[in-house]
Amino acid sequence: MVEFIDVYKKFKDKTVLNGLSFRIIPNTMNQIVGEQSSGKSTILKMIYGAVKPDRGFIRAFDANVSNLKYSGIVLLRRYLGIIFEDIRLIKGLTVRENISIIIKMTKRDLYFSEEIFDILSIGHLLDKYPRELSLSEQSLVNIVRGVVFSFPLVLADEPLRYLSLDYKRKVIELFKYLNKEKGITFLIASQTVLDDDFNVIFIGDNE
Amino acid sequence: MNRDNVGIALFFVIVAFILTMTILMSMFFGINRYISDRKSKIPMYVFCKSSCKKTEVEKLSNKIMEKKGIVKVRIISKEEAFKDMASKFSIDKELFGDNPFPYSLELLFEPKYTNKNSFTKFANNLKKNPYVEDVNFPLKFLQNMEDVKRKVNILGESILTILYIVEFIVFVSIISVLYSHKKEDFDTLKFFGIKRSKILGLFLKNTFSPAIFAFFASIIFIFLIYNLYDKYANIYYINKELFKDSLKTTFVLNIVIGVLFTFFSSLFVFTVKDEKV
Repeated sequence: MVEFIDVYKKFKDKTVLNGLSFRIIPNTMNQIVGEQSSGKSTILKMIYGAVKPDRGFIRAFDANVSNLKYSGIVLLRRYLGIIFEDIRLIKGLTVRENISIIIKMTKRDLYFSEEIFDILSIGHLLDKYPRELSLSEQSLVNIVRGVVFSFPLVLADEPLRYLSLDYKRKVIELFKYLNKEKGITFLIASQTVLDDDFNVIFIGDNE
Repeated sequence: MNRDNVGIALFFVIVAFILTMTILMSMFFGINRYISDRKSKIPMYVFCKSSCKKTEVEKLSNKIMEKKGIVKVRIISKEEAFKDMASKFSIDKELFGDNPFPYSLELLFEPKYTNKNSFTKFANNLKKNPYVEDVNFPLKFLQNMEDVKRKVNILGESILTILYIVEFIVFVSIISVLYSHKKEDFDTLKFFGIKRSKILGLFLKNTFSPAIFAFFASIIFIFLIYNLYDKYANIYYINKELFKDSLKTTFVLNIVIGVLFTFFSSLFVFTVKDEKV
């Protein structure tokens, strides 16, 4: 589903990825583990085409992302669920609108897994604006937005950062449930191993 | 400045733009029309030969009336000329045995023919007529009026051009701030596979929403200004019909320019600032 072969990336003088290679198999739970600034987010951004590698080959689904034109990248992103590290909710829209704008603006009739609202207990937040939510509530909405349409691949960048222990457990259970029941593939970036069942790719000093 | 404040700022910038430019342009057109009006009142005098009879003068008058650019021809009788001259210079009419004045004609022209070249050409042609002794017009005054009109035009057009340029820069700056506030949202949408053309549509919606409110608010303000002018400041030379006409024309023109400015500055800002992330 995703493949990195000998990928290099340098930001100014700092080499972030030095010949990274790995492969993600469909319908699996995967994690990239590394310290802060070790390149975890860069890897995820490379998959959805927001960062280009200096060298190497990146495949997502059947597309060579490293050579894909912008129109192709836009198309590829329609099959990805993205959970952002910096949350990125649209401030002028309610929670419901933040979620539905993805299907509204791409004119797709996607299945909406409403049970997720119940699992994470955010049903009461749907008509609120992001400014009315706490950071952990915003973080939950960010997670829901990434998984609610059951896209085949979900890229989650530090999804548990702002959550309480209880919610961290709930979210991991949700991810496992979606993987098992809907066959969604997960690639989660975090600083520590979240679950023993996940396939782990270590980067940086842990590589 | 949060994004709502940027929208409010854009609203007031557009209202200020429409009102300022409409009022300035109305004043400019008003002054221009006033000068044209004054110019069209500059007469040309045609002095007939002393041997001319009344019927011949009438014939000449009718012939001149048919010419292009003529608004009015008035025959000044010998008696009228004599009486007028006597009263102007307090001359005792009894001193003259005969009336020494010939028949003459007073000609008034349309504003666009009231200039030195047209007058000179017209006068030279008239001088060829066998009934005409001499043609006279206030050349210096005509030149002065033309000069004033030209200077007013240059000044008015320069001020308006500078103001339009400044306004466009203000539009671009405000819309640029609006884009910066929205950039993160737009980039987020791009990460979910939304095309840039759709984002542009969304951005135009964001800039046109305050603009449309501003256009409607301007209609109310212009209506109020017109009524205030009508009630308290009806200047004699710039009558309310003239002001109303100018206001209507310039208001519609500035609304159109406002729409174009909003559209092109949004497009410019989007082209310069939006990235393929």
